[in-house]
Amino acid sequence: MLTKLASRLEAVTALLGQVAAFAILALVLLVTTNVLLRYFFRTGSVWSQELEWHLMAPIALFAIPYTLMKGDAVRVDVLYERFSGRTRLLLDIFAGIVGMAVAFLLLKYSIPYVEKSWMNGEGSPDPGGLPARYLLKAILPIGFAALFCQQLAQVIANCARLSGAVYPADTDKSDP
Amino acid sequence: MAENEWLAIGMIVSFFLLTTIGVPVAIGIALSGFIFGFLGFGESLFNLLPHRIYGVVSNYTLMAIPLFVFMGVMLEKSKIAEELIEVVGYLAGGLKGGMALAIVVVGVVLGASTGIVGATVVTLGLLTLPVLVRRGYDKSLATGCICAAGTLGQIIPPSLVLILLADITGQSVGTLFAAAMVPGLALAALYCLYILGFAYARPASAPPIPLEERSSVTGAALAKKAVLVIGPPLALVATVLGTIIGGVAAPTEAASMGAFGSLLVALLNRRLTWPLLVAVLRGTTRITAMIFFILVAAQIFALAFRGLQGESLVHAMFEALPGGVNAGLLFMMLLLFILGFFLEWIEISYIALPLFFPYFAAANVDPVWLAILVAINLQTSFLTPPFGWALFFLKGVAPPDVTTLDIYKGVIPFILIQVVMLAILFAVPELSLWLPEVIGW
Amino acid sequence: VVRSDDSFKWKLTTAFPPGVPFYSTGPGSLADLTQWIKTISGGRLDIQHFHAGELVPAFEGFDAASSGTLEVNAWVSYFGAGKIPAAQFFGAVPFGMSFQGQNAWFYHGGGIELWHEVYEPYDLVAFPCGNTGVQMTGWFKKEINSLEDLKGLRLRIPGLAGKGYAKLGVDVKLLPGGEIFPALERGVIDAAEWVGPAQDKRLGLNKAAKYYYTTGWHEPTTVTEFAINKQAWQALPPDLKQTVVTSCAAANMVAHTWSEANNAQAFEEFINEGTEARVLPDDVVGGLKTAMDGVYEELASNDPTFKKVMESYLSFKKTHDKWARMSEGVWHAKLRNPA
Ligand code: NA
Ligand code: NA
Repeated sequence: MLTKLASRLEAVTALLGQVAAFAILALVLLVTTNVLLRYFFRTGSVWSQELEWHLMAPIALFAIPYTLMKGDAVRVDVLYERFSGRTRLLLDIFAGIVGMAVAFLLLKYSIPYVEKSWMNGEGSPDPGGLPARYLLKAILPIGFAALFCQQLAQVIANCARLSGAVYPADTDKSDP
Repeated sequence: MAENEWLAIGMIVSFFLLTTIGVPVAIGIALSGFIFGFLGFGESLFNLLPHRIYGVVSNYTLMAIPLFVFMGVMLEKSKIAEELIEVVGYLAGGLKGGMALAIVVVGVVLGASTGIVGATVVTLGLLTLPVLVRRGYDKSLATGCICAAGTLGQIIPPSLVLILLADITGQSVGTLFAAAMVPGLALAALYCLYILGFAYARPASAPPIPLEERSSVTGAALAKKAVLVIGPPLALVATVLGTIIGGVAAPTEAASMGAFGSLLVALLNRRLTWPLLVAVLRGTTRITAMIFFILVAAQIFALAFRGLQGESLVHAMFEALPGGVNAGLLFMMLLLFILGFFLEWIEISYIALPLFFPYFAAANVDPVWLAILVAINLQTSFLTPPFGWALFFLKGVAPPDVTTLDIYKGVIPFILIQVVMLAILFAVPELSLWLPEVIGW
Repeated sequence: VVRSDDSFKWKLTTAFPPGVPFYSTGPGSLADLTQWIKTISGGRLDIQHFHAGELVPAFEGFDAASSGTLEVNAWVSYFGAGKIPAAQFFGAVPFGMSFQGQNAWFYHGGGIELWHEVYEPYDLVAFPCGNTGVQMTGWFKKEINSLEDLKGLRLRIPGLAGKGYAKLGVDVKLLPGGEIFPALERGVIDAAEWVGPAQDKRLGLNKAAKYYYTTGWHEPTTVTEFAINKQAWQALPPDLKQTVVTSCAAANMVAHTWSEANNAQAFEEFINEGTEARVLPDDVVGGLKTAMDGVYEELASNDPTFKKVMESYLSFKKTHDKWARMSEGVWHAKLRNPA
């Protein structure tokens, strides 16, 4: 039951990871196109320059839960690698719960932030720039909600492991 | 000391403890920031968090991170990187430490195209670390070398540190760029000297490619391979730098030329397939996220440090400033170095530097020279364990058998080199003042 | 008047990095202004001054003050044009009035009242607290002799004026401050606009381009905004309110005169070091004016607040123009340095 929830949550994480991955490809192609158009044809537009850094928000925030799912969080392993498997699991559960609290707080603070932008109908201050900046800002709460869910999934999985279950997601830590 | 200052100290200590027992770095930063922030000032200031995080994820300059990481991952996954560093090994012949020297050279060139440490360290790590380890290099030498070479971008222009220092010291950006050139290259030269010395003293830890393996490749075959294998990545790195120098792209945009170029190189090598592209994008996603997770979490810590009036701690230390310009300089360098253990360079620049600069300006210390001394010091702060960004970023992409301890051990000699460079520049200010004068910037 | 003994601790955030004279340090800067307020109020209104990035990034302070997490934000109003197009008129107005006219409108033409009205929904009360004076068209690597020379010109310029340039075929490029020098020096862009001589010198732009076009049709005068959260403002007793208002007006004056003095100094240094000062040809100015008229018309037709503020501004300008032409205009043309 709970493990089913965990795998559903991870499916969402994987989807967001996919979005981030293709946003990176879009970023590479977009910046290159903008540079070449300017250099060879002396032309360009304000909106396409803004789109460059607009792509950064989904890349950074949607990718964080994805990278956690893949077990990529950076840690100092000087002591960690000497701990027993059980101690490590306990530590991971602790970090997961703390991570959920952090994600929850970030989510809580970012909702009024986006609301304000939405109520102001905020767009780019540069003429010819992209409208609806609140959509860009809305990536913050979406990203933090996903971060919360992913860590919930991991806490569930780690608790299952602690109680001796062999958890199916223990397999793939490499690139898909 | 006021209660808040104790809380600020508590926050730093708790961060050290959490990361030491193995809590992920981002979680450790975030947790200590939130707890001590709530204890000190409650919720109010944390309402500013989304503003800061939005600032991070919409930062134009940080765009260079995914772009450079893409280039690195593409070269790695298409096996071009592996062959590159191997061929360098062959070309270096019997020279011990030859492959490590190549890292410094690539670090200088990448550094000249970006000032983003995360991007450079990760790219270098992906390109070179697995091969070096497999070839029997001492893990600490390899990781230390990558971290140090990866931070060169902070001192070799263009660089974010120099741009911010220009603002704080009131010098023109161009002047500081010119002033940093010679010390930056001298630093790279010192790294090379160290690598050669290390390889001479411990040849087994920085081995050349074995003679029998080398002699199995004829000169002509090697020459051909060198052109085919080194050619494209070299052209790529040259493209990045060339588009900046040639006026095609601004520094941040130049990263995209490298990323796009790596796509072309893989295509020309007939290695670009859809599965490869997907794998590269996923790899880039994970590494980019790892960097941004730490950057985002650090906003919580930094905001709490502010809210707890952490700057008054720094002020208090400043009050202890001894008399005399040289003693004062020494003290400032020491203080910046210590702050580098737990604060990000941006926070250091904002909190500490505005305190010092007026004092030294009044004492007629050359601001350009002073700025370069500070820049080298801040660059060092990326390397200092436990809270050196370069160390974390490399750990994130290192093969599993490379431990944090390997990396910590590896950077220590390079930190000492930084200190030596500071001493040299301290004694010979002309190293920084000469070039701006000659080219009139 | 009964003086209350209440004291207030505020936080001010700004869009400006530490160390920048005029904005962050020195005469008339925000450091100066907050210090005056503290001194005059006998320490009862103590405003802690944070620079861009210390608490929030440069352009995030407005929302933070608006929501009351901080008490004050200082920036230039047009940075908020994405939320409030009408804010352009409180910052800098392309083909608008110079220091005299802009401030006459603020203090005596209903400008400040309109400003408060426009900021009402954002819970902010704003005052001018500094002024760069007239800015410069910018640094160009090649001379501009005709409208034709603008076609395909790669120009770094943010804001409303960029739209006018774009209409004339200019390729508008947005770049952060730190990247302007390397980009202009290497020729990634052909021209760049920053502020005026004193600030441009800090970027070293004279080493990157030879021609310095004058003057700033796009920013004939640029106002620094001191915007206070309304609840914080209303909580102040009358004497502290007066302290803020008077200190802002004084900073407006002192900062502006700092710019005049230091621009003159920096400009002379540029000329001695080989910079060539140029004036845009009449047909280019005419083309830009026509283009901007179109831009204003578009904005006014989409936004009643913009239209209202624009009409106030333009009607004041119309009357002031005649006087300015016959007073300052004649004085500059004939009397400043009589033959
Ligand atoms: Na650099
Ligand atoms: Na300007």
